[in-house]
Amino acid sequence: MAVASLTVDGIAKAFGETRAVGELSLDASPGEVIGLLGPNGAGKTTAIRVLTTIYPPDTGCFAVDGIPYTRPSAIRQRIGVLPESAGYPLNQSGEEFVQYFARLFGQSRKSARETARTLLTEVGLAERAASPISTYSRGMRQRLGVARALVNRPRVLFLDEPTLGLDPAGQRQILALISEVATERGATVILSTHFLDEVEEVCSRVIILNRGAVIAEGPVTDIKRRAAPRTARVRIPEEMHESALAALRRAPGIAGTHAINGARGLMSATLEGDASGKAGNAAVRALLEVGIPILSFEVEGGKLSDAFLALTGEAGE
Amino acid sequence: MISRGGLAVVAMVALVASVGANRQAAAREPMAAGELTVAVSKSQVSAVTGDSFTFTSEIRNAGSEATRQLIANLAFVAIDGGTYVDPEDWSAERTQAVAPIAVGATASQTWTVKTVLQGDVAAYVVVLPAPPALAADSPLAVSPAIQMHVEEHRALNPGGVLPTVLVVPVVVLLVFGGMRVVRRLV
Amino acid sequence: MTTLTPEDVRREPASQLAAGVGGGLLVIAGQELRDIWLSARGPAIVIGTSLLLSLLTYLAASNEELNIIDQRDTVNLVSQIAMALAVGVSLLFTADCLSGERERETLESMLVTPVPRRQIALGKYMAAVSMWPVLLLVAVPYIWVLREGEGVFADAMLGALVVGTLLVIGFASLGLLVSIFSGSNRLSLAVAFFIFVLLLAPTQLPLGGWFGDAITQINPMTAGSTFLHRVIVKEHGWGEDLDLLIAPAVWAIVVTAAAFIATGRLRLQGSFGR
Repeated sequence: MAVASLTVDGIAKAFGETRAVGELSLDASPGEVIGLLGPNGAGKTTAIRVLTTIYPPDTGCFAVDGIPYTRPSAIRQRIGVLPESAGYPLNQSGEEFVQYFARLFGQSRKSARETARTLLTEVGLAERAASPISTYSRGMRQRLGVARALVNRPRVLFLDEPTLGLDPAGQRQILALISEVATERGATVILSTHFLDEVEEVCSRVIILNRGAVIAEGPVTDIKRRAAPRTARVRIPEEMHESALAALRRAPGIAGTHAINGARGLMSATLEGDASGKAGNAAVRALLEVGIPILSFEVEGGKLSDAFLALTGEAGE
Repeated sequence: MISRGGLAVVAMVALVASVGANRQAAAREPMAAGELTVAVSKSQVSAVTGDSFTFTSEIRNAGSEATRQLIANLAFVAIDGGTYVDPEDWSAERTQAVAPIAVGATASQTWTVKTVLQGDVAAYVVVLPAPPALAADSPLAVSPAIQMHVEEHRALNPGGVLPTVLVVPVVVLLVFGGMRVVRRLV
Repeated sequence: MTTLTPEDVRREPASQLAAGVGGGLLVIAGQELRDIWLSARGPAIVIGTSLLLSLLTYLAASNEELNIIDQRDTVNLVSQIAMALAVGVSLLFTADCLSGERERETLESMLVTPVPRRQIALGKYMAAVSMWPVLLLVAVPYIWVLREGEGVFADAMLGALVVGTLLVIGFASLGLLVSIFSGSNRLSLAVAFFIFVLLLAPTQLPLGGWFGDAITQINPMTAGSTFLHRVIVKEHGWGEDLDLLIAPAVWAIVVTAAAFIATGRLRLQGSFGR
């Protein structure tokens, strides 16, 4: 069994009367990508700042690669961070910037130059390495930030909203990079994001925060199953559309029905309850009992966005 | 205590009296004022700003007794009324002590004047008893005024600083400009 | 796992401090020096200072030629202005160094590197005070050309070096102290500049009586300025007025010590003025 690269045990942080993070615990293995989800003000950034030694925890403890939080300098040697609102010195070139941080992590001038060139190539900025950062687009700056966060070959990489403000292509690039960092470098990635499809795409586990409290955590599929209702996509003959809707509404375990995109003969039924399939069976039985032939019946898993909304009770992405 | 205003009045009287008199570079006729007379070696000076000149004053004891310790004071007054005269600027040493003068003897003093401002200014020497003999009714002796007419002169290179004030900023500019060029090339 | 208090977290083991000495500090100082001297900031200040000193020197020499101002007064004037400029600039640079990073959102990235907080602050401090030797060097030719004798030049240079160094150290530390706690760069610069003007203003006023004497002795700027004036203009020996160096020295030591202690409390957010 792999040694946990990140172990967090009940950390909490408050600012005055406001509890920013309460009782956060997790164990992360090398190569894992853990999503940190939550609405604005949930405590994601505070949690990351505690784990990256910016803020000391009020209670609890954590360790990176077995190094306790009481040795913040040693922890910083082993982590990489892309803060949510990361600024950049606009008069420096991308290469100078990454090189500077490589040197802050103890690399020699020559080694830092090589590290900078390698990383900028990996993030797709090789051609613009010598250009001043002031000429970089937002996406390029985010990629530069990722490169900077990787200078010390971190064991744990913290990314706070890395795709914020990026176009779909830029988001895709960053997510691909994240996956690569986790799989090829074996680093643990803690990804804080609003974008739920990102989490579904790259994260193996997710922690959902709300008002500083952990309200759900676990594998993505588990979260979806527990919190998000499943739906059945049903196709029946068009002339029996209204009868089918009425029959489904009467069936036990059906939370709601509606036509999909207004089309006749195609409808969706929200299935209540657990994963055992009882509601689905009840839906099928309801249609057959009134003589409606079922042309197709597909059960779809709940979306993470639905789970998120259900858990946080707020509008998410 | 003799007021400055009193001195100025005396000086103006002496000045008016000297207008129209025969002006020569040599010592003028002494003006009597009590037992002492004061003569000066110049009557008129034409100069430009920044010039300096020296003159001598002669104090003669025309009385029947030797004088006590005296003070000779160099004073200035603007004749044109517009020029601001700060005596400190015109002469560094404006007061000289004069040892007691025997009957019939003279004592000389040398004065240096720097013409610092454009305009018409008069200089004169006032002689008075040194304290503690100085009293409110002590007699004064005043010399004729030296009329100075000063034209403005613009020195392009005062004190020889012009090369420095021009070169240093240029050198600084070149140094930093050069650094930028080298950085771009490297 | 032992749960320790946040206070324990702030205390870095001595070995880690020792291991960090030199490395990160020099990298940061080097980068900050490049930022100052290879950008327009530092050169613009030096060029501006040389133009100002040129103007002053020319005016002073014209007046001196006219006997309006004594040569020693001229040398004193140029020395004091070069010194005041260096103090002000060093102060403003350090006042910007951390609160500016906070405002530009570049501080967090610095704080997650293994470089200790003190070294981050010290590296920036070292770069900020580099302005002083450069401005002093620029003042040399002006003082040389205005001197009336070798003695004046030596007195002026040595006096400016001693007094200026003490004042620059103290005021740069003051700027750092303000910057550590200020949440906004504007506030940091305003507070630092206000304190500078507060201490500089009495040097322009005639200070007499017991209160004026007290101000002269206590205020590092007036004490330093008066010392320089007495050495250059009044031709006092150095030993005659050494008591006037007490205030600048105490200022340098106390404020620097306070800044050093405060750097251990460098945080992502400032304590006031967010």
